[in-house]
Amino acid sequence: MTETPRRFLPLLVVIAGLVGVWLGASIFASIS
Amino acid sequence: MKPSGVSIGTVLGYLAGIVVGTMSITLLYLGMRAVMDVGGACADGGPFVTAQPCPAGTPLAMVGGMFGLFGAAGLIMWFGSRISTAATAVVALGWPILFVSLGANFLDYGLHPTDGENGPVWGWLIPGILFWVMGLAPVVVAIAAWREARAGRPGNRMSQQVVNRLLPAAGSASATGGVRPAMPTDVDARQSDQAGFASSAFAPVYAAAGRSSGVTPAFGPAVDLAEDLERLSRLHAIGELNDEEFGRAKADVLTRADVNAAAERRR
Repeated sequence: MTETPRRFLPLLVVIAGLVGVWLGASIFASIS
Repeated sequence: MKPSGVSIGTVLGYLAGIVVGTMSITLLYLGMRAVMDVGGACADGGPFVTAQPCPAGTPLAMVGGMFGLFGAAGLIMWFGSRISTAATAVVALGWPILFVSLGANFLDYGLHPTDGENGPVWGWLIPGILFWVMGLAPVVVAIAAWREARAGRPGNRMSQQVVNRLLPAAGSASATGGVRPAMPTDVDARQSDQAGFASSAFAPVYAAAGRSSGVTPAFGPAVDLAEDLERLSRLHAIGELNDEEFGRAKADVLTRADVNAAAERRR
């Protein structure tokens, strides 16, 4: 099974957080 | 699962939780600003007379954001518990992020009113300050606890004192079932307990909480001795613990069993 080294996790979390903010802002812009 | 890595499915589920979480907070933040732009309250449909209709999209953003937060917390705890305690604990950041960001909205609109008023608007400033206090107080306690843990100071830790002070209160309020510091998904809680965390200053408190509530604390008196010994010997067998550490941990578990038995007898 493919595995993700643990040392990448913090970076992935930060990227995912920014993606979420961008996604939220885009969704809000499209519904308002 | 090897300790060196995490399966891709777990990572994706976990990251999905992070994405949904920050997305939900963003939606709540923007939705709140849109509502505050029109004066701070709005109503649509149902029995409401639409004196102030809601800005387009805000009901969806606010409701979606709130449900999204719960979903995100679930995903982060579910998948994070398969990764590490720290990964699970990330969910706790949601609280300060949510309250500080929404509090910032209150403070912003309190200091810079949109309706032409001059000076600070206390109706916004007070909730803003309250939100920041609610959001930042746990951060202050957590940082203090973290510094103490790093310094490795035994005994009189502030974090322990906070827990010691809060737990009896939690115990007395636990007619509603409210007991307990460790999260159910916290895979490492019991391991760290074996390092003696709960066996010293915490043991009487857990015993008290267990007695007053009738609920078994997450770790404490009712921890199964055989199960603990079994887990230790498993760690020993796979080489996670060397002979010396195994011996110490085992003695520790047995000592705690004695302490717990004494606590049981006192009930």
